[in-house]
Amino acid sequence: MADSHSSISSSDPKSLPRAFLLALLLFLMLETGLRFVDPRHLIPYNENFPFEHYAVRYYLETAGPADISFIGSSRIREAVHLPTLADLLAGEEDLSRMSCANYGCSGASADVVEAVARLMMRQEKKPALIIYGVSPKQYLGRESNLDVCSVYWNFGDWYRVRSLHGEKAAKYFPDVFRTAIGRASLVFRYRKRPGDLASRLFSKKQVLTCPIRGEPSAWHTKLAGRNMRTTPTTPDKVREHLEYYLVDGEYPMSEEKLKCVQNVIDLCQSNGIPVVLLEVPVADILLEHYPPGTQEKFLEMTQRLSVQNNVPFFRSAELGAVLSDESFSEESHLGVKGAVVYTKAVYQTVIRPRLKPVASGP
Amino acid sequence: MSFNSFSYALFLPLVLLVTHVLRRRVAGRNAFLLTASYFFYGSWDWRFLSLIWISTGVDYICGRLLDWKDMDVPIPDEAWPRRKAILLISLLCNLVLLGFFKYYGFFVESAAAFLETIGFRAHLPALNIVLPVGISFYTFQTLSYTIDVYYGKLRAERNLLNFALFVAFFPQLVAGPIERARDLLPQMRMARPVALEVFYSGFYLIGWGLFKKVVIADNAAILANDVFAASSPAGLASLIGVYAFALQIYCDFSGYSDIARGTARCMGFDLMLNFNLPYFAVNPSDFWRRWHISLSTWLRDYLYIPLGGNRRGIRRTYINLMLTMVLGGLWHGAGWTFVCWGIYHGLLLCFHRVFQPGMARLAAPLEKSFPISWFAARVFLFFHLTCISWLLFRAESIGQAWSMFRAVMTDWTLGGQVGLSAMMQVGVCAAGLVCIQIAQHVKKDMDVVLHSPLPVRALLYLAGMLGFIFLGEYGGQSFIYFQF
Repeated sequence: MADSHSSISSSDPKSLPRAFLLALLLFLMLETGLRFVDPRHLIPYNENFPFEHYAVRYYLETAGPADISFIGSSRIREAVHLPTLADLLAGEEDLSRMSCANYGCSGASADVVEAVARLMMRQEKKPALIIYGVSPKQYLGRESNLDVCSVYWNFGDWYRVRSLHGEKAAKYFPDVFRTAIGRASLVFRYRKRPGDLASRLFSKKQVLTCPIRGEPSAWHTKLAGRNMRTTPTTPDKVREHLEYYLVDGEYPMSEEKLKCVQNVIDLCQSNGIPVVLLEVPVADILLEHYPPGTQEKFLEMTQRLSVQNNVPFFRSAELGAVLSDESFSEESHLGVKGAVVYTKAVYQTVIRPRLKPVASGP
Repeated sequence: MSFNSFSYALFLPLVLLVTHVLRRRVAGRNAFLLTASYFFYGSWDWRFLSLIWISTGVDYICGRLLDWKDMDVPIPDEAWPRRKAILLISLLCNLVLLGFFKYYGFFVESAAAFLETIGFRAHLPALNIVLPVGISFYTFQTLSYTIDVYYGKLRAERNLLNFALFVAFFPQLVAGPIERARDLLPQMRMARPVALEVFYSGFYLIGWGLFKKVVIADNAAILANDVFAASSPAGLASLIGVYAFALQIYCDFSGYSDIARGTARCMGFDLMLNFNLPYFAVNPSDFWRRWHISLSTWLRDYLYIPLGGNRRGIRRTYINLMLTMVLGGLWHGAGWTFVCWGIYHGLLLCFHRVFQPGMARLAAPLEKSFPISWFAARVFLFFHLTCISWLLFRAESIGQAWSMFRAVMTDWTLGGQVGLSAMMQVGVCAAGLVCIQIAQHVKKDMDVVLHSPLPVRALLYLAGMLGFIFLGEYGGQSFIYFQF
């Protein structure tokens, strides 16, 4: 094939850099234009992995943490109804300007929450109160979820974790590099938004509400009418759910994950931010199906942390919220009705007593 | 280390820099490039470097033994038996290695299945052999060298360093283009300083190839994988899945070839064009002049023509075509779906040969009156015939290919296998690609973007950047042809 070897000199790309530079200039104009728009509305939110974590990261980096920040797994995300909390705050003159957001993410165990907390503490603006929703799931497993944690890392974090985990962590360098690009470029940061909006427009699906933005959780909006009375959870379903986590019939809670919770507390305390541990309510049917001793071990581990660090730990029962099957959308998560009740109780027992003296101070 | 990996983004600038520094010292540059190539290959699995060394050593020695000093003087008859023996040694060494690593499992499984159907339960030794990446490519490349030297078409390379670099040159080592020694070896022997504009055009090729891989192929892969992973996809979903795979395999492989050519060009080497708008083909012969050109010409020159080509009568021509295509199918992978893929393409070529003269006469008035519509209709028809072959190529089994084909023919529902978001992304990517390729076809210029006016070029580059950002899949998915 004589023509298969195209001659190197056949193309005439002498002006390539000019065109390339012009394209770069146009790109910079777009980037600059984006900085005049309130970027928070551009951050796409999706409750699925890994987009939820990207959203948490970009919100924290764009707007900084809210005054009242909830952290933990999806259980705390679904347990709090933020519009209710915002209404309650608005009713108090000295708390009405406080913002609230929920950074709970699906499946996040303590190592992931630690990564979120580290990112939070790096921001200029700091929260006034951090409420850490805990359940046995926080202590689940020994291994770190590096794939998730890496979403929150900067180069320093990567280097620190690499020295602990070696090659397992080293391979996430490209992800950290992309994060750094996203930090510098808004176009890159919001890159999933146009596709997300377009697909929702064409499929006529509603745009998801976002608890990081202070809105109800996406499940609260999508599954507003669902509860365990109308859609009962069967024991088989609960067993199937737990089966996924059990190792040799045990719910494997580890000291490694306990250390991560300890690190979160240390981070908050070293930054002078009050932190509260809050047991997240789950349905009775789930508690009944935990392997024997699971709940007791969880309480023992958390109480130990609470005493050692002088951090308050609130049991669900202490809050005075009356929750029934109607309050839960399924065995692990509260539905809208339950979240409203629980949020009011958390506000009265946990938030108000802690913020009122601060807000009414000099 | 893959072209779309982060490590390659670090590796390439370093190699380009050192190559530039050594641009006037041929031996130094080649020694460095050889080391870099071995490092590149060793980053997959250093153990398989030994196979490259065996191939290099055997073919270097065989080449030297076969070397015919005066190419103007015919090789005497008495020299041929010895030459044949030497060629046989080279062929055996290369093909035994290829056969063992690539086909052992396939033949053992097929033999066991056959014995079981005739009533014998055989326990044949199954070895879990890992396929060394790129073995099919570099084996064919070295074979072409030895065969050319054997026929006296090429002088043997005396310098082992140059020859080793010819075998292991990293841009095209793992997935081609399968270069000919007569094209690449002379480039290895001389200093190749790179003019700035050549460097730019190489850089453009790398960018375009990456765009095809990261933006188009990897998005199309999501759609195709969803459909092919479903147990029984609906007809329309199957059709979309096959279209997506057609887009994926083209952009994946031609993207790789573009990056390979661009990388080589940045270092001053010119690799052959491997894809020339294959989906603009109007018949099977045309398709094979446009698709994986380096393999199709290899098969033509070293298999079809030595078998007799079309010089031994009509029946023998068809047999040769079928044999060439079946072996071409097997080259791709050890599996019955690849054999069927080869048979299907062989049949297309045979039918085309039979009916082409009559069809040309019948279609002449149409072609004259509606040249564009007629061309478009032929492209459309042949694209769909190609899609049938991709169905065979991608399916896990012949049964799956058949059930999807039947679904396409009988059931025009979408089912739940195709995500709207993925479909939209692929649609946007495909539309961009089709526009550029139409321009390339109409202008008969593969570098149409480079030759367009400055504002158009700038807007295209901006669109490319935004395409990378908004639609890019950064999971670092492997190139499809690495498995071959």
